[in-house]
Amino acid sequence: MTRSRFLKRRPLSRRTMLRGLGLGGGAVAIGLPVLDAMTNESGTAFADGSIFPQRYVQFVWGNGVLPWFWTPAEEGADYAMTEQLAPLANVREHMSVVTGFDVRVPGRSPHESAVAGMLSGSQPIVEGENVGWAAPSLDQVLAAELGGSTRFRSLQTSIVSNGGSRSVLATGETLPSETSAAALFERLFGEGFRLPGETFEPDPTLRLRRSVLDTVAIEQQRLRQRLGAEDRLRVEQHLTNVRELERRIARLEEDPPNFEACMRPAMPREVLPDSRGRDDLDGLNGVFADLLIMALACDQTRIVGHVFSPAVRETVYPIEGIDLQGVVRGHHDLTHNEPLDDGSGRGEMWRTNEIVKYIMASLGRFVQGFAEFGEGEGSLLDNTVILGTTDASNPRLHSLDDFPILLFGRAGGRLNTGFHYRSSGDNAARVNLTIARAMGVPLPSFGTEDAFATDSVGALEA
Amino acid sequence: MSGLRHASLGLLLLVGCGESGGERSLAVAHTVGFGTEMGEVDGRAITIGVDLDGQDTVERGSACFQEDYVAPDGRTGIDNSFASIFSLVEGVFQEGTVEGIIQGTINNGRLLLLFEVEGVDDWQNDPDVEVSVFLGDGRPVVGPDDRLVPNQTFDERLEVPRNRVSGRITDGVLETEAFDTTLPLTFFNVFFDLRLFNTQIRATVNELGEWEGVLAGGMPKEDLLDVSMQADAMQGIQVTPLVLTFLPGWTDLAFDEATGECNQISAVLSFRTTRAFLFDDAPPEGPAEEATESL
Amino acid sequence: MVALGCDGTIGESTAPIDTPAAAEYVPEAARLRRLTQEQYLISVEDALRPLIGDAELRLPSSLEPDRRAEGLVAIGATEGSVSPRGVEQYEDASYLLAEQLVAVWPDCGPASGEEPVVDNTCASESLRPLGRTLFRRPLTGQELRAAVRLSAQAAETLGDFRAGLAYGVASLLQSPSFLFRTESGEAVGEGRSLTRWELVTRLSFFLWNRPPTTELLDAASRGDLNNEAQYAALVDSMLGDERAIGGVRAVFSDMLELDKLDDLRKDRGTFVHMSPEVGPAAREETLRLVTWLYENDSDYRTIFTTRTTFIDRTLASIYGVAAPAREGFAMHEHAPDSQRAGILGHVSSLALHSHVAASSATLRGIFVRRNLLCGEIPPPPPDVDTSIPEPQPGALTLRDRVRRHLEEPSCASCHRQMDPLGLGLENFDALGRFRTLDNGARIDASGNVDGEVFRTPAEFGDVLAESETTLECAARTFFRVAHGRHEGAGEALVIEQLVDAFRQGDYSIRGLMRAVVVHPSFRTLPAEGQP
Repeated sequence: MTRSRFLKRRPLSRRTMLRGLGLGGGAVAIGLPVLDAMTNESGTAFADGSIFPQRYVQFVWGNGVLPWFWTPAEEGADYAMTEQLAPLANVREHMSVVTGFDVRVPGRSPHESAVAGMLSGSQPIVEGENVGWAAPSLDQVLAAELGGSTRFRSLQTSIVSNGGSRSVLATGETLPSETSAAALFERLFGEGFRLPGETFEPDPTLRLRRSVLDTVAIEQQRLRQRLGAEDRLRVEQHLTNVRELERRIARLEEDPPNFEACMRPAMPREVLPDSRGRDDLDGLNGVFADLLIMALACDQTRIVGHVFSPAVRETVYPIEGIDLQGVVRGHHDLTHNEPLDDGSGRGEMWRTNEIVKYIMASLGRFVQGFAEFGEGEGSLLDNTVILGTTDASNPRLHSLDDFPILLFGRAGGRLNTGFHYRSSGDNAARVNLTIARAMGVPLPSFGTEDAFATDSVGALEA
Repeated sequence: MSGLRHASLGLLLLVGCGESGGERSLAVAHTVGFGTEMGEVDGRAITIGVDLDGQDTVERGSACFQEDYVAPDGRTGIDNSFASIFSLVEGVFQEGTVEGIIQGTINNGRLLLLFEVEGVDDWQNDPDVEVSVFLGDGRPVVGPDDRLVPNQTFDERLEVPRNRVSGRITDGVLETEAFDTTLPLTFFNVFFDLRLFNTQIRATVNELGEWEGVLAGGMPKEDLLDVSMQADAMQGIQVTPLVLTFLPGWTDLAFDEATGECNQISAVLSFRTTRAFLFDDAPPEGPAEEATESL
Repeated sequence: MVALGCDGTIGESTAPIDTPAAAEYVPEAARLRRLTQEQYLISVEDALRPLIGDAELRLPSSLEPDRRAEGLVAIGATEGSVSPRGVEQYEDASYLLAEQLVAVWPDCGPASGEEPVVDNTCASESLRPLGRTLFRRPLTGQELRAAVRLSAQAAETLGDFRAGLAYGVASLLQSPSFLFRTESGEAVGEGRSLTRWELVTRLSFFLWNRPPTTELLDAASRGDLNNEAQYAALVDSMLGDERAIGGVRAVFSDMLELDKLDDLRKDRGTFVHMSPEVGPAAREETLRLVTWLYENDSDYRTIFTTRTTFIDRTLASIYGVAAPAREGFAMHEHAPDSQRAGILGHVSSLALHSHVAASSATLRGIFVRRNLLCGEIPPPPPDVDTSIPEPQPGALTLRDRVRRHLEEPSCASCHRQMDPLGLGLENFDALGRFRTLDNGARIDASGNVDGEVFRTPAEFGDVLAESETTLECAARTFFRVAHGRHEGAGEALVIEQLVDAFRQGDYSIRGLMRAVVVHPSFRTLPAEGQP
């Protein structure tokens, strides 16, 4: 079995690093912070008194869970891990298991309604295969508020080429995902990336590139005047994104933020499918986790929309022995066609269960990477919220009630972790509101129509 | 001429009857091995093969003494002297090495052993069919099971003559008359011509090209020596002295009255096949052999 | 109930065309259309190739992805914007291309290291024709000045004329006027029409799937497109040009979702023939067939019935036939009694609309219903158990296992639109290999297309070929690809006329393409003030 290669080390303290370099380390380029002191004595704040930035990561997997293997019987801190949660035991202390919330949108579009409802509190607008959402996803709500000061307002990634994205703009448009780890590496840490304190040689082409973008933006403004209302919106969005890129380039011209933990990661290794053509999803998960962790640690972005696996598209998991009727099945196919009880005594839909357990084990290692990555005196996870969710509760029925929600991380101490909280059918959008407020974004409400919520979930808040 | 013959091959398979009457089917060996000893029953060792000399040799006093085997299906008189040699070879190398080398040779296109059966009226019982054994050329596609995928199309290596022989199918088992053949093979990076005299084929066959059986014949003892010396030189091993020591005990065919010795060693190649096709025109210019050797 | 959506009408697109209201033609507005990935690559190749000669041209490897909306990529191009990632990709691509270009171009201006580094005359004379090619219209004075100014600014900063010019070129390549096709039109009399530049662009992208050549732009400039006879002659010469293959391939690729074959996934344990080459090869087979039909001016309906196809070694091994060629593709004729007839016997149709190891009557049925018959099928309602029972004695084949779909009224209202179609292809497994047994039981591949009965996959193709709906759907699809939108209620008459023209032209693909572009609707926009 392939083990993912997460970043396990905590970065060396500055003192250790200086010792380690000895005297003759002049030629060794190490990310040495330029400020005299980066954190205060408690390690929880920058020298200027501001706390570490808060990050939000959306981890979405496809095709739901199986409620009967998912929901713990007990509430509170002393709950027993259920079969599907057990693979998350390694991060139990960092996790809130949130159950009993309903996604309150009409279930018109299988898989799409639930994930749109869960992440945006709105329903999808489906036209053929093109899906927009009536409201932006939580990551984009947060990106609009918090993304302005980093190089990338947000990042979208998926470990598989057909994973798609669950990051939706206010315009209803879905942002595409980066599905190649090598391309993600190049984008984040390739040309233009500098470590904190790395010698700065002004690059004149950056300014020229901004001039070009500025010219393009002026043209866009001219063009939009000739267009109808809908096209005008499209050009405006393009214009916004051009201005975004200008800003990103401008960021490259400035000194990078001084984050002690930031290091240039190694080029990601290539993760190949097995001989049957199945993707090594956990291996890919590890490679992406490494890059995303460093993207956050280097403050390249604070918002990540990550897709582990797509809905519906038939992902075949590299798990042996879960064929059905002697035939290999995709995950989605299994959720619908696996018999509830095949008489084997392994429980209802045990094959699908094995897949969910595989996903949870991958999620566990993903989160563990954040927990083990040191930042200040704590870990990166202390200043991060990771929302884990999916596109159905019971995928066989595409159901939207009692939705699977996992929260990881403490958002700088604003969230509680380490317990199971069960609601009695409350609005799931309240969880989004809770996350946003914990991230320091005081939204008055989240969600639309039946999913409209104005109260956060107090029990989750510290 | 062969171009014309092959031109209608694809169509014939679908239509199900050829001009000579009966069906025709082409198959390529995706797995080839040497028949090895497979245990004992009632004190007689078991291996695959056929009775090449028409007698069940069990006692000393026969012209060439080499105790015959019993086939897994109970047939007696199985001649496969090479089975015991093969145990020796396996001892020199690691078990499975030879198998792996042969598979590699098949998969890279250097050993595309093709079998064609023509004039089949009934795939269960037909007393009169025509069988050819020949070599193919091409770049095969290999599946995740490390075997050639079915239904590939190859060229015929025209520089190697076809062996044609008549045969009969009895209860789904094809048996041919004896023929002499030479198969140019590459093992252990050694190119050599495997000569087999009085060769017979015995295999279960069907119209899908999924055949399983043996090709058995007599290998001249000097060929075996030649191979072992070449192998020694290439691999830096010392097999030849062993071969020389044991050779008199291995030979069991082609009794020479003048010397009182046998000159050949019975050998059995096992094979399993999958359906294949031939391109319906002549292979492109240039000797095919060069193309494969440059691989 | 949503499930009832399948009763009665099958969506607006198939609204009856002979209702009195439909007789009145009401044009609909056109939307801004982003170049598809393929169109982008062809456009830059067309623009740069003549300037760089035989030098190697490295094209960008990642661009904003295409999307499919309302069944077509051509419509997806009229929705959405350019994502933040896409802006980066277009920017990267612009410099990749511009730097290759200025390495060998233009002929004028100071060489590297030569002073002065600014030569606005050369920059202007170089960027003007390049801009016309890229923007598919002459640059405005403002646009040209901006590009020249950028070039000069960059040349001064970098101390090199050519390095500077690259920034001017890059600005053109990132411009919305290059990345998007506008179809805003201009007032003509009381109505509104595409401008000459918009028209020649729409024409060229539909017939060739590439931007207009300099010659076409010149013809537009002369006003040739406004003269009916000259326009018709131009259309005929374009349809006779080998570049028309690009248009034919694009329209069928869109209609049959062949772009999705790049991501074809099958279980290699079940299908030893599966490899990353299968999907692209399958697409090529189907495209070669339609190309061949186009070149021979054949009857469109042949795509459902022909035993002729074009395969390579990979596909030959899946079809279980001798490969017709050692390298690449060549013509192959399936046996006259083969069940593999037309595109429904292609791996492209069969494998794309199946699960990773199991075939799917539902997916295949949806494909035929939506893509070939232009019908609409709503998604299954929530909280419905859609599982297919295990094979068991008495119900081994898929047909027997999905019987409930057609027996329970709540399922049947939709499933009778797809299962009787999809089950007709059960003789092909999830990769497209022929079979006669499913779980050991004999497959019954009979079915019907809206009452027209067939017994075998080959007969299925015959029924589709005879169906009026199939022909009407072809006309609708060609119209949709050309216009980047579905036909509106007020355009039913247009479709009717296209079908008539299609019929009168003996159903030739070329005739249908011609009918779409010579129909007045091809250039007509709603008058100002209309919705």
